[in-house]
Amino acid sequence: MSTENRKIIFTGPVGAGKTTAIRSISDIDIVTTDEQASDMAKARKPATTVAMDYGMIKLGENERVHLYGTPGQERFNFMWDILTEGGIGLVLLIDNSRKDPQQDLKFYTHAFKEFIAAQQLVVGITRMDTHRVPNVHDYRRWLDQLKIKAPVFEVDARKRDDVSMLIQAMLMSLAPGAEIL
Amino acid sequence: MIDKSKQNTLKVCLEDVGAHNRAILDFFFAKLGQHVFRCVDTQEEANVLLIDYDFPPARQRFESEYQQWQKPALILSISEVSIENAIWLAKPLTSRALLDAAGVLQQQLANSPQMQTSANPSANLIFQQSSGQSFVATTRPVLQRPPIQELSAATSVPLVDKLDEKMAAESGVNTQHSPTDSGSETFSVDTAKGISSSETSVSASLVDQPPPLPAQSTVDEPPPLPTESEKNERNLLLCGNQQDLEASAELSDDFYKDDSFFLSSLKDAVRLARQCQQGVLLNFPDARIYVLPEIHRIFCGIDTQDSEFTELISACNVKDGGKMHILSTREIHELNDMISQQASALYDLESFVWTSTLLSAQGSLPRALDPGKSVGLKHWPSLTRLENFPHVLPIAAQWSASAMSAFDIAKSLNIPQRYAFSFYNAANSLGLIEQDPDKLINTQSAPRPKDAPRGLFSRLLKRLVGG
Repeated sequence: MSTENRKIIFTGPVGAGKTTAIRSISDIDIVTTDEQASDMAKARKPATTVAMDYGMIKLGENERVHLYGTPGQERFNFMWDILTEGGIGLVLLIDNSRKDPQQDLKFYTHAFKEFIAAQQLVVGITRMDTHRVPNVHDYRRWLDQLKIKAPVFEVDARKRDDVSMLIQAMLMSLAPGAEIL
Repeated sequence: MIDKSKQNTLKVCLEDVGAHNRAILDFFFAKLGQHVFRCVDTQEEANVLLIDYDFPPARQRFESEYQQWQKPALILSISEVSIENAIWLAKPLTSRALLDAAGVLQQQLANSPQMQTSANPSANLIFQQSSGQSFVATTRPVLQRPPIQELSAATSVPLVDKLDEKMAAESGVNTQHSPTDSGSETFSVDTAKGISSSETSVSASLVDQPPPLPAQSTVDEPPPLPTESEKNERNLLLCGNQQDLEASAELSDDFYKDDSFFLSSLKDAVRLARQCQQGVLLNFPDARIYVLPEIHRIFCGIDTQDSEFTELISACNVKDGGKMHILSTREIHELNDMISQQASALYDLESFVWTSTLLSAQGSLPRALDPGKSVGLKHWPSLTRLENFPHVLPIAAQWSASAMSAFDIAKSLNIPQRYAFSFYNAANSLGLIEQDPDKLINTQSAPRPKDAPRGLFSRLLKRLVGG
């Protein structure tokens, strides 16, 4: 019996919590390719993902949901198309403490435009506990302006429940009425 | 006066400054302050930090981060702040105060080049400015925040200014500042430079800043999971136990339950707070509810999970208050103290309105919401921060996918109608329901795969919810 494999992609700017989010829900120790940050990323964290993060959720013997995190820096964007191929949805994490979260939202939704149109986007806003502005309502408004319909949740990437809720919303959006077997 | 020929431009980085105050400061930097300040994006580029100390969580971040940057700072705050290597600028802020402080900083930087990179105790000039007074330089090497006072019974409930009460009694809603507000002393930039009245009015938000929040640097300990019976009991409170109705049947008056007085007052307070972008106090005899739109929070001393809160919602009526007014400076100070002592009483604004709506309606609908009418969901509620009830996620997904009536939602998901009604009502309170489906944004630009692997999705969902 062949193994069925699916992919969920996590993306967002440096320090938004992609690695942490994958770690929160992965069944395996995540594989990460962190390196000492040497550019602008250094101001936000000492090490950053340079190729990708990888985690996995196992569903029985023959089903796997692979979790891929893209590197946050734009210079690695050549990898994004490769990573998204065959993916079922995109989790976009935005760091609310960054200077211009609206620009980040625009940038990533544009970068993954075709994938978002074909699959499902969910947006998680991190660091909202300490940076209350902009708020979730602002993000909804910005998505309206971009003509994108996607759930927007405040999340703490360290909390499994929050990351789980994002993915549940993604799955339910792809298949409304899906039953929990 | 600042001698422009001698000055060096201060590279200032704004930290923890709200959108409104940032706009005001940007205006200042572009006009009067253009020869003195240059706004930069990162702290690395800056030689001066400008921090709004009343903006959450500036205080906490100052202690954990800003001090380590070891750069002089301009601290904006309503109350006096004495911090090493910083100049306190009292709110309401004036352009004169900013320019004078810039002059002092420029002189310091010129005299002591090291000051840009190291905190120099000898240069710990702390300047205090109050209205009408000149700068007074003192040396205060120790961080001196206003002490957190133990609240006595007399001070735990802020006294509402009598004028506020009088005006509230007369008009029902008081949108004026109390005499103790210093909101009248707005950001008084040189009128010769042509600042508009709208810009000066916005500057009132410099005065009525929301209080700071406690920062969460670690993951909170999860509360103990409720038992099954506790969950059922709570769901009963949130969604009631009404039996399903025939969609075609004439709905009786008993079916509808209009917003409680508490809920309608709360909605009015949120509307007012959002319109003026200032904190609003909603005043009941047993509870004071502070709506803080800048930080999207509500402060309420009664736990929304407590039966006392449910009683408040059902019991209070027009005779018991429900008056509201914009927070005065004094009330903001009092609120600061209360938050310091009871941070758990600070709720996400949408979460508070959501829970209040559910508890108020308990599975019923207000007359304005027709369960047979097809409506759409403009946006998903932020379900990670809202109180959940059975089927809330499938309802959101179904309603987001296509405009439907509440009856049809319940039928298509094969769930009790009361859950669809509860979602409809609560989402409507948050402004997420579009009554005219034609106005919904059509976002689908590519066909979705028709062969969504529902089996795998279902198994993954089960896994995610803990099955």
